Amino acid sequence: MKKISPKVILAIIFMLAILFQLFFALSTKNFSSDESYLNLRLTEKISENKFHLRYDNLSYGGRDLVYSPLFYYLLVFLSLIPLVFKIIPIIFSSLIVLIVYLISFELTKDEKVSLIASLMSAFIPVYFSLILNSLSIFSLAIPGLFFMLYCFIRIGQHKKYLEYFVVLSFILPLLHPIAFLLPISIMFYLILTITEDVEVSKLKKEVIIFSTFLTILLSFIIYKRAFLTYGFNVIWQNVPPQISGNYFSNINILKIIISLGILPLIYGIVGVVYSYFKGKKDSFFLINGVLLAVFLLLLLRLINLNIGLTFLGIALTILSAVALAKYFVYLRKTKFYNLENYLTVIIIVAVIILSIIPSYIASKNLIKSTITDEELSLFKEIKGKTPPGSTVLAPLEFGHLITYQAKRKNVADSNFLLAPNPEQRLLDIAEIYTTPFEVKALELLEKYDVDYIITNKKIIEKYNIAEVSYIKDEKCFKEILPEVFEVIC
Amino acid sequence: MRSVSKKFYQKFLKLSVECWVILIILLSTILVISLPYIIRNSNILVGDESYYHLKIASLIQERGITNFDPLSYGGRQILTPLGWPFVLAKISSFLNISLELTSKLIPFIFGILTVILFYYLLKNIKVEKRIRTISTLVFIFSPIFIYLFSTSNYYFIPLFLNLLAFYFLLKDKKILTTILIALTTLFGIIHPLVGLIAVLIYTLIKNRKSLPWFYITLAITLILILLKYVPVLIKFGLPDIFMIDNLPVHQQLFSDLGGKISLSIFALILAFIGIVVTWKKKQDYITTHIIFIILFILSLFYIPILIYLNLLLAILVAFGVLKLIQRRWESKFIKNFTILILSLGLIFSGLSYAKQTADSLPNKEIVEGLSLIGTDSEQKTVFSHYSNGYWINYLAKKSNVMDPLFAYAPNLQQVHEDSQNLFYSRDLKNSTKIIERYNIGYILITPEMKEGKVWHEDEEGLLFLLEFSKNFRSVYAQKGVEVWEIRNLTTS
Repeated sequence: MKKISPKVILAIIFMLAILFQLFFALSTKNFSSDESYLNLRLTEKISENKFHLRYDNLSYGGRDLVYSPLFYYLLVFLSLIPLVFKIIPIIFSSLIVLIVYLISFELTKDEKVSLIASLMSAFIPVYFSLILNSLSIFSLAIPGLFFMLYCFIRIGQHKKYLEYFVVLSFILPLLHPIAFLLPISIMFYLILTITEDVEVSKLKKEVIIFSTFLTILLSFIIYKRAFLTYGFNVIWQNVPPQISGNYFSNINILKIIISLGILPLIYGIVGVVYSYFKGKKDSFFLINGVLLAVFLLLLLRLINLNIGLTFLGIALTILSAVALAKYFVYLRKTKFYNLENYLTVIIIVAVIILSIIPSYIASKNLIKSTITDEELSLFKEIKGKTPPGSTVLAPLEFGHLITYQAKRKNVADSNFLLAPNPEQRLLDIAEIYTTPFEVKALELLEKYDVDYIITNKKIIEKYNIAEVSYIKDEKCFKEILPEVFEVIC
Repeated sequence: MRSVSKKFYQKFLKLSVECWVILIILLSTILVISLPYIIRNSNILVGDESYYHLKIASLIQERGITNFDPLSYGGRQILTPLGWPFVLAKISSFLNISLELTSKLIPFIFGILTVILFYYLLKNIKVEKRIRTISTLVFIFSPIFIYLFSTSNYYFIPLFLNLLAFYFLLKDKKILTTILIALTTLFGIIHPLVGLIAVLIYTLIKNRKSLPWFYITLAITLILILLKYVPVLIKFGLPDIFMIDNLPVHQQLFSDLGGKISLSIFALILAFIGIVVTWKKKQDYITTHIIFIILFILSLFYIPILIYLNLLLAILVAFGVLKLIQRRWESKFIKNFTILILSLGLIFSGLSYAKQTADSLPNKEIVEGLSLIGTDSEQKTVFSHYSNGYWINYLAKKSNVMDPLFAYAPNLQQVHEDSQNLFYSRDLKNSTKIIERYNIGYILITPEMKEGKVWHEDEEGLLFLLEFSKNFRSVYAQKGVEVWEIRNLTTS
């Protein structure tokens, strides 16, 4: 029987990853995350004005924006492709399969285990919950960052990797502030190499100096206003405590294990132990550096748990390849060497059971909780029934839907950087929905110039109330649409 | 003959290179100092401190040297150094030009002189040409340089005097050094102290024989300091520590994080490399390291120390940059990019600071609004956020309720509480009492006050009263700047 080339298998895994995501993403017209609608609006604004939006007159009733704009320009550039906002993020995010293969192969020089690692990376449940059916910058930023790591490992082997690394050093900070993860990871990498007395090439040291300074410079240029406003506290991105607390409030070890994937976790930990105590190659320390950097950021609550777990999941998948490679090398030395193929099949079946099935379930749940056409049409109707410039109140989760679909001002949304008083606003929104006192609610509605208030089922469930107690007062509230009331007094 | 002409040619070439370097440095200096005003595209002086000096200078022009300020907090003693306002008043009178123009002109001239002095000082202490050129350029593009010589402030003259004193010390003109250090006492207490520390270290290391001279200088300077400050301490005691709206120290230290007298983060990183580089020649640079560390620690407690630290920082940055340039790089491509990024980083901090300075208040509307109040001949007080206090004094020629000069301010705690009450109270009776207590005739509101500096909501506290009470009349409203006149308001 003719042996299938690893490249073909890799292509199949890549296609599988794309098809898997497409299957879910195309099952609904809508996006699964509120942020997707912000990204859509920012992209459309570039198409309209030929320049990215710097003042948003709808978000928080009007506020300045600071963000890395490259992703949106890229989407505008690619917008000729049909279904661009659904397909492009899927293709970008699936690139992780190829990158994990490349890094794993570089670390192990073993095609088989690299392919297994690549398959595992295609189905990391937490990665799906982050990027599936979303127009998310992470779909490009995460593969981009890992590709930079790959180039870094190969710097010195070929000039092109140095060039790729330099180009990506410019691109990544223009994509997302997560670019800071690279210098932090490299800092841990240097600490590990120094403590373990592993030589780092001069060229790599030069590249480290270059990319660190570049990331700092670009971040200071892009986020200058945020730095001036918050100082070093900018790293907390002005996220209100009630939200940053939520990142970690539902931590459940079992949930984390399932999110990461059981196989990457087990083999990844073995890989960490091996790479630190026995491997002692500088490329191993680089991946360990990523793990430590993500741990640090999670510990300081500087990144969302899902984002942190995604990085951990991918890094552990890569280190799984190291563990598996050693495992097969060891097996070949034993009497059970002829069982290698059977064991490979068992591992693949285990990947299917322990990674693909949880990913399927996570994806199905995500799609189930996606905003329905009915819910979305409500926002479109609001646009038709309300005058431009009016303010619509809904909880944070609907903030970007109000600005994108209804084209009306919101009171709060999840874009917190430079947002005015997000903490107080979230408290006030909750108070408006839950207070039994109409006078209090009216006072707060006046505070934010609210003209309309949405009270749909999801909102009622969120605040755990039977109904908004005062909304039936016809002197002050008039129902203009089902579940949408105008404030008239 | 040929060798003589060759020597002459080489000397000429060397001289002409130096001339070019100095020319570039001078052009950069002129550009950087003018930059805030070029960006601002307005003749209005920037910042609040400038207006404090203008006020004191105009008082000196009117009454000669005075120790009473009738406009701040409704009237108070002047205990701040009078050096700069005195120079400002006298030069303005002598040249017969306005105080505002003098406020721009003198820092500008001192900026150029300071740069030349800094360059030649480095030359005199045998600092290598490349290091002194880079140091001078780093100094010019530093945020502190822009602050010192683009705005009217306490610090630029004493910095120049101290540098000049040190220059004369190198030239062994000790009497001039003594005179100059003694002169710095007119500009505040830290300047003579920093000058004395620098002279002491130099004397101990290079010229121990001059120690008796140092003791004389020390005695003269200390006597002058004591003569100036002991009566103040006896009469008023130590100033109360009163801090409101202060940025955290780490933010005050860096211009990139919003600090006023502040360093560039990039410069600090490069200076760190510079320290590592010079660490290898510890014996030569131990004093630089020690002074750098001492000044850095002191600056955490007293931010203006940074103006002296900035000089050392520029030198260490130059060592850092030169090390990166001279290092044998594996990749020339990465080397060029890295040096480009570092240069851009250093320039970015300076430019960004220049833009911040250019954008700072007051703007045309504030000047117009306050000038309108100034047309009222009645002596009334203007109420506003304390940060607008100096503008009220100088532009409206009216007294303020409060201004940023908290040290030795009369009844500061009470005034602050009353201000807060007036800002946030919707009770007209309560507000009327405060208005009468301070004889407030006008209220100035700026957009920043409505955007979180004071209020967060449209009808919060005083804003509610202004809108709904007939006792307040809007006399000016342009681009968010509002002036309200108070009329017929009595508690009875």
